[in-house]
Amino acid sequence: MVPPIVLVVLQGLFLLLLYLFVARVARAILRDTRAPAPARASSVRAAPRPAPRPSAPTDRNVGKSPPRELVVHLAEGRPRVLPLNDSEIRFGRDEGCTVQLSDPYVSERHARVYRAGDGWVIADMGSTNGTYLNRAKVTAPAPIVPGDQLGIGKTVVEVRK
Amino acid sequence: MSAVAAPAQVDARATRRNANRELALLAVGIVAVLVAYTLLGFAQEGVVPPGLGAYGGALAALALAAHLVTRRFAPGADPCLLPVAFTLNGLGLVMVRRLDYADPEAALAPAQTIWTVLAVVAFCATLLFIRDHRSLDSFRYIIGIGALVFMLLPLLPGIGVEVNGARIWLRFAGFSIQPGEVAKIGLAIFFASYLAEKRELLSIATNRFGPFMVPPARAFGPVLATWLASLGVLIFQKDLGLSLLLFGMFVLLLYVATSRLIYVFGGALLFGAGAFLAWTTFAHVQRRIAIWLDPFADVEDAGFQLVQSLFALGTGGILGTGLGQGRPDFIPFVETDFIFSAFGEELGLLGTTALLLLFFLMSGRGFAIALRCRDDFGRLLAACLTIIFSLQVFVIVGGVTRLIPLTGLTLPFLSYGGSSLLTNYVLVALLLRISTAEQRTDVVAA
Repeated sequence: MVPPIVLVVLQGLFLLLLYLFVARVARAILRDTRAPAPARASSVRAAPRPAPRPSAPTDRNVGKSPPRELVVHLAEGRPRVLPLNDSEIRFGRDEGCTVQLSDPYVSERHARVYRAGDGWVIADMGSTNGTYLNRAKVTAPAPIVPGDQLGIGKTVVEVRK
Repeated sequence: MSAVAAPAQVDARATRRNANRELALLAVGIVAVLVAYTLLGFAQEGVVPPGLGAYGGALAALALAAHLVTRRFAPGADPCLLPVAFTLNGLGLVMVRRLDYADPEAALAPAQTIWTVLAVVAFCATLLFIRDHRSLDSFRYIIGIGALVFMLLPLLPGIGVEVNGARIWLRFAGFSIQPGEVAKIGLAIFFASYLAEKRELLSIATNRFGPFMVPPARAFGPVLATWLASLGVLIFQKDLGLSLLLFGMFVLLLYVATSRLIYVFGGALLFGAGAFLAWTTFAHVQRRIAIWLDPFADVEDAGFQLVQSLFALGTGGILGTGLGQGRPDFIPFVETDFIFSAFGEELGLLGTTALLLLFFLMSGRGFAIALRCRDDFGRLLAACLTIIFSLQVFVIVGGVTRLIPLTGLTLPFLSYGGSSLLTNYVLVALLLRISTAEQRTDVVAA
C-alpha cells in the first residue's frame, strides 16, 4: 500500500489546484467586469480627437474659454455633436433624457451637464455605475473645460470649444 | 455576424486574448482533474492508475476540440464557461470512477465517458449550427411544441418506462434517456421568445389592487397555464423536481422580463397553493415531506438515503476523508442525486465549497451575458438558461443537505447521467453563442 502521507499530500495538492482554478476563473471574470468591453477602447480610438490635456486640476480653468459643444462618441455608430446653449443636457436610458442611451450600464437618469455662471458643470444624478471626468469618478458637480472627456457607461463624451 | 464599428485589429486582439484565456483555464482544470484521478488510483489500488495517460490524453483531446470549435466558430465568446463546465465534468467522471471501485458490476465510468464524448459533440454541433441565437426566435412554436411533446413521450406505453416511481424515462436500443432534461432547453427558448414579445404588455400596470398597481388579469394567463402544466407533470409523471424547475423558471423569467415583483408574489402564492394541494393529495409528496422533517423517524427504510447522505457529509467534516478513502457507496443512488454528498464525504467542506464556488461563478457569468446582450430575446434566453442551471443546483444541493425537501434532480455536470450532461453542454454552448453577440445600437435624441 501507499504510505498515508502520500495520499494526504496528493489530496492537499488537488484541493490547492482546485482553488487555484477557482481563483483564476474569478480573476478572469473580475478583469472582464472592470473593463466592460473592448468596444469602449475602440470607439475612443475610432474617432479623431484631441489628446487629453495633461495639466493639473488646479489650473484647469485658467485661461480657458468656456466649452461650446459636446461630441458624443457612442459605442457604435457615428459620433454626434450637441451644441451647448443655455439648456441643460441629460444623459440616461429614460425617454425624457436629451441623450437617450440604450446601454445596460447606464441608469435611467444618469448624469447632467448644465450651465453655471460662465462655464458648464457635469453632475452625476445618482447613477449606479458612476460618471467619469477624465477617468476620475465624479462625486460632486465638477466644472468642465474644452478637452475634457466624460465617461457614461460605454459612451465617451468629448468637450469642445 | 454583423459589422461592428470597432477597428478590426482591436477586435481581433481582444478575441484572441479571450480564447487564450479559455485555453489556459482549461489546462489548469485538466491538471486538477488528473491529480484527483491519480489520488484515486493510489487510494484504491496503491499504484498510479494504469489508464492515467489514456484518460488524460482523452480529456485533453476533448477539451482541445471544444476549445478549437469555440475559437473558430464563436470568436469573442466568454472564456470562463467552457473551462468551468469541463472541469466539473472531469471531476464528476473521477467520482463516478471512484464509485465503480465500490461496485465494479455497475461499470458507470465507461458509460459516462461515452456520454461525455457525445455531450462535447453536441456542444460543438450547437456552436456550428446555431450561428446567431436570434435564428431560434423564429422557430419558437416548433421548438415549444416539440419540447412539450418530448416531455410527454414517457407517458406513452411501449417506449416510456417508470423507474423508481417516476415516469420520465424513454428506453430503446439499450439506451435510456430522460427527455424532460432535453426539453428544458426547448422550453427556455419558447419562454424567452414569448416573453420578449409580450414584455411590454405584461409589464404595464393598469389595475389597482389594494395598495399595488397590477397588470391586467389576462397578463396572468400564461403564469396560470405554466402552473397547470407543472402540476400536470407532477401528477402524471410524478416528477417533483422537473415540476418545481418548470414553474420556478417561468416565474423568475417573468420577473426578469417585466421587473414587476407582483409576478413573484403571485407565483409564490400559486406555488404555495400547488404545494399544499400536492401534499394533501399525493402519497409520494407526503413521504418526501415527512422524510425532510424527520429523516431519523424511519432510519432503516424511508429516511435511509437522506440519513446516509447526512452521515457522509458529517464524516467528511472540513477536510474530508480523502478521495477514494470514504464509503459514499452507502448512500443509495449516490451517483445521480447524491453525488454532492459523495464529494462532501471525501473532499470535505473545503472541496464542496470549491464546487459551489464554481457553480456560483458560472451562474454569475450567465447573468452577466444576459445583461450585456442587446436584444430582448437573447437577454431573456441567457437569463432563462442561467436560471435553469442555478435553480437545479440549489434544489438538489438543498435537498441532499436537508435544507429543503429532496426532489430528484441531477447536479449539472457532476452527476452520472447522459441526458443531463448533454443538456448542460448544449446550455453552455447557447450561452457562449449569446455572449458573442454583445453589440450595441444607441440612439441619440437631440
